[in-house]
Amino acid sequence: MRTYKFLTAALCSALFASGVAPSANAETFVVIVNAENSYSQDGDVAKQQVRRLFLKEQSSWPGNIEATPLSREAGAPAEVAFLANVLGMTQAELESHWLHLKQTQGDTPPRAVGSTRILSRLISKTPGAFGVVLKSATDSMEGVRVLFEFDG
Amino acid sequence: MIEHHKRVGVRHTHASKHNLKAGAAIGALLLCLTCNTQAIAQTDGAKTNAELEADLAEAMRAIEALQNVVADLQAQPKQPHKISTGSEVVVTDISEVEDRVDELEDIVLDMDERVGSRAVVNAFDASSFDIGGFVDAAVTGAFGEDANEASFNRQVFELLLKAQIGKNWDVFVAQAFLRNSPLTFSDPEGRLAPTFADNNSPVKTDTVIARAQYSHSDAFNVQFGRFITPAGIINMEHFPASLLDPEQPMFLRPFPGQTIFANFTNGVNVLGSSFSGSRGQNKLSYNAWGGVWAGNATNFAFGGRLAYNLGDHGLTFGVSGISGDRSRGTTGDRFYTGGVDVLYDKGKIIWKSEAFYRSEGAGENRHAFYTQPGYRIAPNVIAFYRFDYLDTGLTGGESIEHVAGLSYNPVPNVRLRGIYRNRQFKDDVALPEADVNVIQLSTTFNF
Repeated sequence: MRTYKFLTAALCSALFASGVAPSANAETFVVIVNAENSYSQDGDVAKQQVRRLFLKEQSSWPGNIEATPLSREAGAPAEVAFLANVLGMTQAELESHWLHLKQTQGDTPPRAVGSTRILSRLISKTPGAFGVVLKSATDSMEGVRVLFEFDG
Repeated sequence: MIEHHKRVGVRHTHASKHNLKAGAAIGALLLCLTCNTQAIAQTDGAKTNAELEADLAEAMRAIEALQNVVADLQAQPKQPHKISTGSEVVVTDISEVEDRVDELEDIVLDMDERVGSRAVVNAFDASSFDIGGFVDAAVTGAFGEDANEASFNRQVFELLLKAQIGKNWDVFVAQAFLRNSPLTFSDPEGRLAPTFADNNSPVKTDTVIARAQYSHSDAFNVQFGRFITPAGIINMEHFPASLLDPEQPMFLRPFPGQTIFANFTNGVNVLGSSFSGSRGQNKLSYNAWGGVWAGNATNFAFGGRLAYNLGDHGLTFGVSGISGDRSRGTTGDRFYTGGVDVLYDKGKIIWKSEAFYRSEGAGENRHAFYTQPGYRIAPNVIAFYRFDYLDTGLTGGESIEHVAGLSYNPVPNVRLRGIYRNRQFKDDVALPEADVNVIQLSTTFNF
């Protein structure tokens, strides 16, 4: 009897491993930039560039376009995914970073934008702006382009 | 509301069809599994291993079939809504407009809550103006060989202001308002212990930073005014909200002072950074500065700092150098300071070490070293220890301090600390050894 229970459990595990259950949570996010932004790197190089600009370690895109990072509201899925997969930081580390920057240089964190539509509009109007949205939300956007995508 | 649900229903019809397909496929597989399991259970002991393996193979084929169905569904492009009548098109359009109006109303409500009937403040001529600050307080007990003393010894309120003036110029000011109630503890030989801040003026205001900056690029910026002397690690972090121990290592005390170098400088600071590495993950930063120790025009110094950060490894190496003249031209009063520092900050470990040497034209040379490993017990809790050595070159000026502390951020803007320190003064000409134990609780609220 134990053998059959084992077989049943193995089959159910195989069913889950087939990807049916996890696919419900898997979302793909993208970093979008102004359509005029000529920065052409992708992959890890682009990720590192965006990381530096978002954390205000660097102020301009290559080509000397002033960067305008835009954030999402704390706890929003896009922000959580960006934090983990692009910045590679915990929320506590990020807050500590902004605290340090505020105290020593008077710099503030990027403005948080709740609405995806408003975020894309802001980016389309500001040459150096960038932000994170769901990949599926980019179909209807104008004046922006996808720099790179990452999994949530 | 009912209408809204109906419209949502229209938009979800297509997705529901996909779900039905997937549901049917999953149902079929589960039925297959259930049948197999029941069959296996009923014939417990009767089936041979070969039969069981055949059953298993059949079930695996069923799983494979299901995987194909799921893959097909996932690969299928999203179909546009098939709307057959004009009225349904209108309903869909209205729905979208209503969604947008809802979104805008949320934003307006949020703005109304923030502003309401209050006045909107404008900076006179700045394109942007940020204001913040912090309150820092401490209670300290010192237990020495001859006496014990305790006091709520430190109360600091500091305002941080930054104004952007045009594209390339900004002004940053940190204005402190201090009210100190210093401990009057002294050891038998008159060496004040602990030596924290300059407590000669218990109530005072202090302009910590007041500088204008011209930003040309990331690689070249110029600051004018009063700035934190760019040397080492902890002096540049400076602010209590960032520090595990707001009293800082011994070589930065009394505060503000110039035991090894001046904590602050009035003058000019040129700074910048550039990135290198295959992904631009490494950072080289520099400072070159010149100026005077605040309030003393004869105390001119110039110096620089180079730091290289290996981003992937969490390591930063720094070197600092300072040359100064306390009395303009009197060679005996020239001094040279050199220092190295290493910071490791990755994962659960944050470890800072600094060593400084100061060569004096007149008097004994000065040495300072500390190493401070810290461990992140939790994202908001850090335990740390510091071994701290200082030799000021003055009589009775050699001491060692052991510090152990715990820092806790209940919320990001609040830091609570509990710190124990043991300071040992070395014996010197006509001065015996002395030691003091200090317990300090402190908190910093910043906004």
